[in-house]
Amino acid sequence: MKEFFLHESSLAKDVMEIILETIASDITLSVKTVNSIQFSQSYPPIVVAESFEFYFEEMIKGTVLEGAELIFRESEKHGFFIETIDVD
Amino acid sequence: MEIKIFKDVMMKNNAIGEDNRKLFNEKSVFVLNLTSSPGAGKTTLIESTLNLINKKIKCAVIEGDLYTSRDAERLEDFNIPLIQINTEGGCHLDARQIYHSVKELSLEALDILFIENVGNLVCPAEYDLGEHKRVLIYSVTEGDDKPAKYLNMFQAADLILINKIELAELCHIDLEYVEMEIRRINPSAEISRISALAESTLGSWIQWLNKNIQSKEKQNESRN
Repeated sequence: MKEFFLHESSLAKDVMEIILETIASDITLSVKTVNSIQFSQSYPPIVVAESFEFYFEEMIKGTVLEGAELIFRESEKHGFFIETIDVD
Repeated sequence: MEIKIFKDVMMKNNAIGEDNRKLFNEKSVFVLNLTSSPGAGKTTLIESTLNLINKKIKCAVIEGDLYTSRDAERLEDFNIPLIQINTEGGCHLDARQIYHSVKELSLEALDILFIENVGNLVCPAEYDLGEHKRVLIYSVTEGDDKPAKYLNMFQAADLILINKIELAELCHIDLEYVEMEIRRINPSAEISRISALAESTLGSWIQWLNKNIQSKEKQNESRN
């Protein structure tokens, strides 16, 4: 049976790419671990946090993002945004 | 150490969507994104619409479907350019899929391109495909609570077609209440009551299509 992919799946891939590209684009950064990622999104939510985490945790295995805590907060601006990351 | 990113996760899709729209404007083709829940009548509406306009207006259809080509097969007899996108389980079409699909079309030969999205009242709301107008087909058999439950979809629509109106009484649906609910959630959307199976109810829909096609042609003439 084929799996049904929610849009959280494709957004998880985009988030991973955006963060890894950001880290790679700054040669002054030497990131060993990403401790946490802070997101904001409008209400009604664009992603269901639990579903997003499910796909994201699978995708980031073996990268510096593995194990990062995902923090979601509500924002008035419409959309789904990556705000900040905390790194070592 | 904190690193500021402040990026919209939808930016990749939105950028491609904007490129698609520029291309559609250059080619002067009016593009519609048809959305609804599964079974609300998107394909039936396209069939009835093609019956009414296909001889006068040059049409093409992109069919989005999870796995099958059943909807596209229903449209084969119209002999129009027809592209099937199977999302292989994906819950929506995205701008990248449309970008690749339209390469197979002679856009300059078209007046209108219908994009039938995957039947889903959640995810397609967030994905700009590059369309000019988004149409939501909402059938009375779904009940009168859907505008309140699926805010994003109803807010994102430019035109909301209340479909299967011949079943309203059987389904205990008060069409005045349904329209009031829609207007409460999206005051700027145009609303029309239709039965996709009865071409006699599609007059205002066809007028709306013609108005938008003519508007697109005028924009292109003024640019040239």
